[in-house]
Amino acid sequence: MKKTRQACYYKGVWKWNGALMAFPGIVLIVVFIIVPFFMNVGYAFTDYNTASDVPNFVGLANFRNMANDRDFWLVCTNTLKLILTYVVGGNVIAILLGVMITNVSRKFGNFIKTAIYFPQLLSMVVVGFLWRIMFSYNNGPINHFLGWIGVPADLLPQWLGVPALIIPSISTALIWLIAGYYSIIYHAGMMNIPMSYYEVSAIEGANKWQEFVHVTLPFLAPSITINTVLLTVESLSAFAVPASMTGGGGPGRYGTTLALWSYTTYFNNHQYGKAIAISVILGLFAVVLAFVELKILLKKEIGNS
Amino acid sequence: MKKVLALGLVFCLLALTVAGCVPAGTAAQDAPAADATATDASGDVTKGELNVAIAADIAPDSVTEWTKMFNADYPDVKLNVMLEDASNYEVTIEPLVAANELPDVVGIGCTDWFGTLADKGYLLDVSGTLGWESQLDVLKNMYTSRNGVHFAVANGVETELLYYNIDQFEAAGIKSVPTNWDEFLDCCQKLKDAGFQPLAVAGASPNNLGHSFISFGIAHEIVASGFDPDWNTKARDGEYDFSTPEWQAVLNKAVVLRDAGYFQRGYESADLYECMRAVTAGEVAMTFQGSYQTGNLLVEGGANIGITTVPWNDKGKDQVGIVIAGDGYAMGKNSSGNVDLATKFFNYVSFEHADVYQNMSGTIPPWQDVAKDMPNAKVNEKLQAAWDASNALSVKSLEPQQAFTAIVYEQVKQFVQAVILGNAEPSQIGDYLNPAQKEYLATLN
Repeated sequence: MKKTRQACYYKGVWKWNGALMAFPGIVLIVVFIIVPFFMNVGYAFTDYNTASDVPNFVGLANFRNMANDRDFWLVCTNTLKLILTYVVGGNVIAILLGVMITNVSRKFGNFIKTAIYFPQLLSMVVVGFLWRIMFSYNNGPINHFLGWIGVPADLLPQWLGVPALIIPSISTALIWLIAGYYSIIYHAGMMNIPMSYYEVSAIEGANKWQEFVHVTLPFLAPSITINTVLLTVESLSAFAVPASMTGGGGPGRYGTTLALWSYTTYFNNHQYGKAIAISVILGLFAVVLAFVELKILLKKEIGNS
Repeated sequence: MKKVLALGLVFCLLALTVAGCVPAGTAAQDAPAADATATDASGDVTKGELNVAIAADIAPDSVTEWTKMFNADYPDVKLNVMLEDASNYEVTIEPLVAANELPDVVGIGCTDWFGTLADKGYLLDVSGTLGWESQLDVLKNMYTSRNGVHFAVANGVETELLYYNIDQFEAAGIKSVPTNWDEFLDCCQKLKDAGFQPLAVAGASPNNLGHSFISFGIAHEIVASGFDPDWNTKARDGEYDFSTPEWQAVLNKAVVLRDAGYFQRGYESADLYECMRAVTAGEVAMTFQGSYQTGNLLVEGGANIGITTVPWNDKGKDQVGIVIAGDGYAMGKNSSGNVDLATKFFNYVSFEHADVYQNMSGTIPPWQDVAKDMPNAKVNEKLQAAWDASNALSVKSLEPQQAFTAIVYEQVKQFVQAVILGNAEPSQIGDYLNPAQKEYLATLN
């Protein structure tokens, strides 16, 4: 009886201490993220102007203005394309890198981990400009290499000039940037898979591919879930890399995402209400997409299906 | 004991958070104002604190030099300097306006948005200052707001020019620079026949496209033709019709160049710097750029580049000069409460020591009498000759970024790019610009 009372007492103290320790962080998140977000939502229904005194309520005018813009559907399509290419491509590359890190020797694995994590240290604008040079039509290394292996000059692709290639080019830059980070998460997930499952699969005569599909991947489901959600949110908020790669949105806005469109609408057009409406839609989109992804992917995790 | 330590840590973190939320300068604002500004025996203001924001893209050392000089001349004045991005002043200034913390002296661009700020009282009237009185009349007009506030002094005056490779012209058998549209087309064809790429165009840069082709088209089809020389004043009201045949023709000549294959290979994805690099490296023969790019085009070790006025005029008609107001210096709604001291620094950078920036950037001085007001100005000889020729043209037209409202100009850029890339026809100009005007009207608050 005494032990139980003691256990309850310490549990209560620990909960209080935990809450108090988290309190400053919660205050910061509320003050700098939650409150501004809801203020933003409020401004989306007004004719807010940086230089005006009192914004007036205008109902859904900003949202209508946004939906009637000639570029609205194009920008939404660009954003969806970016999500698909970035999330799928990012996960695939990160899993492959994770497998590579897990299966090489410790000494070599540490070197590879450092090398593939290196892009994370660069600023997003630097990454954008770097890949802009890489994809340059006349002087980029990629087209130089293609020319060297025999691709005729008039068949060299304009990576940042042809509408169909702009978003995949941006995705490539973003995947290069984050692959190292997410591969570490997958590597950690793989290290937690019990060896007994691999031993059983070896006894059953499974080859490497079957081992990967039937043992590794199912155990990686929680990592896949969290990475997919994080990559989705990241792709929605991608701004610096697309802006610096395309010089503000690309020809015909084929490289403009919702986040970039919100920025240019605010600072270039001075259409504050419309820009805020775009950011609100972007936020709602992120919440809905993350919710749907979690609902679907959590069911696939071992123990949840 | 653990609980006490945990509580103490939480308290410290909270205190830090609250301390960080106290705005800078609160203590100074609460202090008695008696010593905040002091005067010397002559009545000049020589003590205090100033907040200034100046662009440092083109001549970054000018900011350092001004700061050093001002500190040496007025050692008791504390100068808080913020750097701006000249390619997008709004990114720096809008948050400051929203927070009601516009600096005492601020660098700005010549756009209608800053005119709007002046009308709302965020920028002070600077008429009567030395810089304002001395600058060119056309610059005074461009830096006068809709309600008549004279809100800035330009740091230079610019124009659009044609930069060409002298050696490639000779190799192609071109004896003289083109002076009209027909001669220009002839030049392009001769260059193409000789194996050179005639014209560098930044297809991926709507900003750059918005300065060139459409400004030439407006200059000749709208202004010089007599159709509507005052179009930009009328368009400010937001109900101008851009779907007339004259407006639908402004980009026709650009399409002729595109369809004839005179643009460089890969122009669709070339940005401004790729363009200029191609010209300085001798890969492309010509490019249309603002005179402010002279320093980037006439580089040591680069191609032998000549400069001339833009030959967009039909044969038998005169060329039209494009006038571009350089970025300006304005005085913000006074954040430190010391207008006299702010005016002192304003005069310092906009007029008295404006040569610091001019010498480093090579821009054309904005003064009516350069010999009197900036005797030590340094301008490239070729640029000076081209500017004199452009300035001597009897008809002038404004550069689009400074003629259109911001929302409409954003659509202008998108429209020009769409036409250059073949995604729109010149006749669709009304479809792009007329709706943008309605959006502009909706933002007036």
